[in-house]
Amino acid sequence: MSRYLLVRLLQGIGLLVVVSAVIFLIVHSAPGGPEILNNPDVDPETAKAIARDLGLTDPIIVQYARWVGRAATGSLGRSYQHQVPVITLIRNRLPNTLLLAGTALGVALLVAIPLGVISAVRRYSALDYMATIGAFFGVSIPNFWLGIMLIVLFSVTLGWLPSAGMRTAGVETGLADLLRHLVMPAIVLSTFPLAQLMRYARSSMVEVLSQDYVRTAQAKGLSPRRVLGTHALRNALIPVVTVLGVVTPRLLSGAVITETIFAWPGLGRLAVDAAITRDYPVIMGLTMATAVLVIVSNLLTDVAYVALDPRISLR
Amino acid sequence: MAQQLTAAAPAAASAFRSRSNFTVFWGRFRRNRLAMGALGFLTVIHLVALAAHTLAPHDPTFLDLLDQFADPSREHPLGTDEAGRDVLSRLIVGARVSLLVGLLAMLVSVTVGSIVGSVAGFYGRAADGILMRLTDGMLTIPTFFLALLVLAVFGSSLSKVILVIGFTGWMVVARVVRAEVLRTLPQEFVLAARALGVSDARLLVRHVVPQASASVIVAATLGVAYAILTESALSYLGLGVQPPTPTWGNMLSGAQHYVWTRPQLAVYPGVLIMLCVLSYNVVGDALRDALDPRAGRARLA
Amino acid sequence: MIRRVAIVLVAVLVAALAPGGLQAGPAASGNVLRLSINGDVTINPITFPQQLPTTQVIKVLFNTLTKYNPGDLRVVPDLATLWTPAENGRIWVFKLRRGVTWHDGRPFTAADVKFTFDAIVDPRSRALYRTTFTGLQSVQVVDDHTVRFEFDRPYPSLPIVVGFNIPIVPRHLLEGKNLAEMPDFVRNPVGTGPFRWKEYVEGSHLTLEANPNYYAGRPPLDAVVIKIIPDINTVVAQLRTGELDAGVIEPVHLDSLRNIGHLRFQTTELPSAFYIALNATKWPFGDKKVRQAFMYGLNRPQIVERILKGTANLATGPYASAFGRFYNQNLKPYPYDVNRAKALLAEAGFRPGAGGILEKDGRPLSFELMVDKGNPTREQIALVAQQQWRQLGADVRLNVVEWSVYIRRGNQRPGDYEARTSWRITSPDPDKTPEYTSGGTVNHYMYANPEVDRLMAEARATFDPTRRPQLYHRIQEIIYDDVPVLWIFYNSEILAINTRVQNFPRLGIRDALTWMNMPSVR
Repeated sequence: MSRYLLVRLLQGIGLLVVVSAVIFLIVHSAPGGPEILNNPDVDPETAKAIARDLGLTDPIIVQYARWVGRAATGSLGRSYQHQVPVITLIRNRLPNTLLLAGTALGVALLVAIPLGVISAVRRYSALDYMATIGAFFGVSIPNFWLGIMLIVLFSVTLGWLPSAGMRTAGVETGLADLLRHLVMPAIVLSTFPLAQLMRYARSSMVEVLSQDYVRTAQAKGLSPRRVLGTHALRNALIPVVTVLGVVTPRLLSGAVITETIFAWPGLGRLAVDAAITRDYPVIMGLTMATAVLVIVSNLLTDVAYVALDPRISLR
Repeated sequence: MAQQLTAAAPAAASAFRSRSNFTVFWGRFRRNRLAMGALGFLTVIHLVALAAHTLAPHDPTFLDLLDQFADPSREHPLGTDEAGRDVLSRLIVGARVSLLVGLLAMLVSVTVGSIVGSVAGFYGRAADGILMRLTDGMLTIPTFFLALLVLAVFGSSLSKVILVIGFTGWMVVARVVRAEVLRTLPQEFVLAARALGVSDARLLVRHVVPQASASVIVAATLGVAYAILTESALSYLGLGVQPPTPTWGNMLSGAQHYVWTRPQLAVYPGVLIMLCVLSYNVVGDALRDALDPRAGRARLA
Repeated sequence: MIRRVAIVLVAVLVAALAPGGLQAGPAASGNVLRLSINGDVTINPITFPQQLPTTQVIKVLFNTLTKYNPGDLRVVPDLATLWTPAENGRIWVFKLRRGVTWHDGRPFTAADVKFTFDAIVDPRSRALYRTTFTGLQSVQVVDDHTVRFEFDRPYPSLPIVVGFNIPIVPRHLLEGKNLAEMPDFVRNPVGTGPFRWKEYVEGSHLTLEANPNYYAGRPPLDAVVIKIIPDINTVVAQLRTGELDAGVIEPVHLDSLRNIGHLRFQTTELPSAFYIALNATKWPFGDKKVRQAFMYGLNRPQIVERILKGTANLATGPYASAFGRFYNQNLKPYPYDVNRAKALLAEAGFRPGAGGILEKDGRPLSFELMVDKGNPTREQIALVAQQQWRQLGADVRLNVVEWSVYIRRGNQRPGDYEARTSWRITSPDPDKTPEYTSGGTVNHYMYANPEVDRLMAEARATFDPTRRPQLYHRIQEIIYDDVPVLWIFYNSEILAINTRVQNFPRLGIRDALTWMNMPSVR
């Protein structure tokens, strides 16, 4: 197990180096430069001086080496636009994105797995058809469109939910206020993974139910509930766990759009702004943060795998 | 989306090996009423897109500021938009552009994925190790962020949008092709061809890759759905195909400003995107089921 | 498994909530004005990173020496109460307001003013508005409440320009620091304004609380909350639901908000024009007749009426009526006249060519029009220009580009474009040296007329109150005839304001924010 973790750790670091080099090259090789140098009010002399201050006049290899050197000591540099350390920016927003993505994933799992299982058990029932068609809609709807429609309906027309933000600004707020703000973005963000997980849960449950050992268990006269609970479900969940590894990056991608529509103060919004203003340190920092997140979640997926399937062991 | 494929697709291998297999496949596919409906819709929408410039009653980019937000009429069956452009014509020509983005991006993905997958599977060892780590790496980054970063930094145009979507969506194809290649290589006809001294490249192109076609078709179908949806999301951030070229994505994004007074402007392209993506997903799914004998058995049972 | 997942989720939820979620905000109160900005802020009052949102917040937190009066943009006292010129405006003496304190309680004095201006002209601080004070030779502290500015030439506009984005910063906190980047100050800024920094939740909102010691008295509002909302459609939604009290909207949103009972609208003309620049270094825009032809061939009244919904005024020339006595009232807007346009192009040597496109010496009249993407108003104007100029026989290709590309290509000298949409928000200073003189820093369209260069230099150094307007009137006549750029309309800003807000200053949002001690809410 520890040997396995070590290998994964080394692989993870390797991946970080490759990803950082590629992204660094992409953003620095593009024509132009950071927006702070392109401000129409900045005189050319000052712009040149700022570029020198930031080390942007050095060869790209030197710049990358300097970035790696700093990153190795845990410093991701300072944002051009925010003038504060990138680590601070990420630390302030990461919890918000985790909250949103975590809630979305939680909703997706809590709805998708039971629904998938029931669909599989009652195959070709009305519920199964509805769930299947619903799932198709779920993976096909443009999420920004869904978001706008929800705002029109629930905030403006019905007045039930706040249209944007994470807390009611400027007044005392509690958990209830946060949850009210969380409802719509979480629904929008969970739509895609929910639909996808539901289909996986269903198909893998269908497969398991046709396996001999399940039939044997049924033949032995075990109650349907026990057959499902102890034998089938556990095995059906294994492929679902695999998909989680694919769903996580998808959630982070979806967060970019969702956070923009709902003005949610998370990493996704920071990413869009950084990309548009070419805030190099923030772009690099976010790339690293997401890569780490994904590596960690993949690792957790593997561990969950072992927990579920005694036949697999991590070497 | 395309990732749905990872679990089942390799099993879809054995299709199309002969005419009778195709009959069996079509027999299975035809029984899926939802998929037949979706296929019908896609056929219609592609025909419309092909003949877009003939079918469109007006020039989709022609503005008439004196005729903004016109109600539906004989002249403008779906009315006009904020700049007095004919909405129906924009939807029709938008279909052409959106589907073009979808299909070409898919072609890019399939090409890149097939090359990566077959090289990895065929040469094995180091090539396999490096290429598959690359594939895994790409699967683990949020590719949408990558796409938006590249477009924000380099500026977006029709061709860049296609390339960026294509180059961020090839990983599943690569995995599928690799699996097929690994399955095919030990088979007798390949060994025989090798013994006859057929070159590696020829062997790959003539004997090995075709074996993977069925799985690739499934991946490609789902890839189109992914590409259309991604274009619309990029449009929302202002990074999709730029005006005056109409796409469903940028029409939808532009219609947001009028969602209170002219909601229909957002509904038309939104529904078309959804139906089109939905149809591609349904057809892709049905193809997989029809090509996968095990799934077929399960369904018959 | 599900239970385990649930436990993990709850743990994640609690962990995420703990630092911020359960923290109490300021005491609940309805006496708060809620505004919005479109992005995060970095309160560096010297370099202004994240320019627009930062500028807006700075205007609430800090004061300038002078500011502009609601309604007529007259220069009125802010931190300075009186200013007197000597030597035709080469020397200025500013008397400062007494009894002003910084938000941390320290007194505001002439030393702060000297520190601010010394910092701006020091190249090491990378100040955004450094070139505004080129030629500033010295700033002297005469006494605690008197400062003396000395320039190398007369600078009659000084009292106007110090009111525009030149916040006075606290010497006691910034002296000896690197002003180009101030990571501590930007998260804990101290000004003299009517509201002081209270809370900044990144990506979400800022809370600025009333300054009880404000020089003009404690503001009626308890706090100003500024929400960060990147998507303008969300701003519109929040204006409808009453979650925002005031916000700048685009003309395209007017229709959908007009029937909302709790909103009223305030349109303010800014002292700047929106224009399409024609790059004189690119063929065939060096020819005045060609530029005039494109002016006559653009249906500007229709653009103003249909795209701007009549919220702006048609532009006659480079100076808006907001310039008051400097504005030349004798000039009338170029009419829309296609025949005149065609005749001018023919005079310039253009003949009909293939596909209805004019040509000259075998070269088709074809060029690229660059526009920034994402703003519906500007995109539509470009589309209309493209179509209308096609009728003159010009093949115009639209190039819709992302903001940073637009800025970078557009603001070089000469600009890397053939034609582009553009505008520039400035103070009501009639000196347009940067825009219309041959060496002007933002003259990216490379307009050059020696007569204008000479008159502009004379006017900017002329103190005489009758001579100065005359010079500017003459300048406008020449530029009007030369059409270096195609002015379309004077920029105006539409503010949607909730009817519960009273006494909102009659100014564009930037200037209105300097008067946040005025409004109150019901």
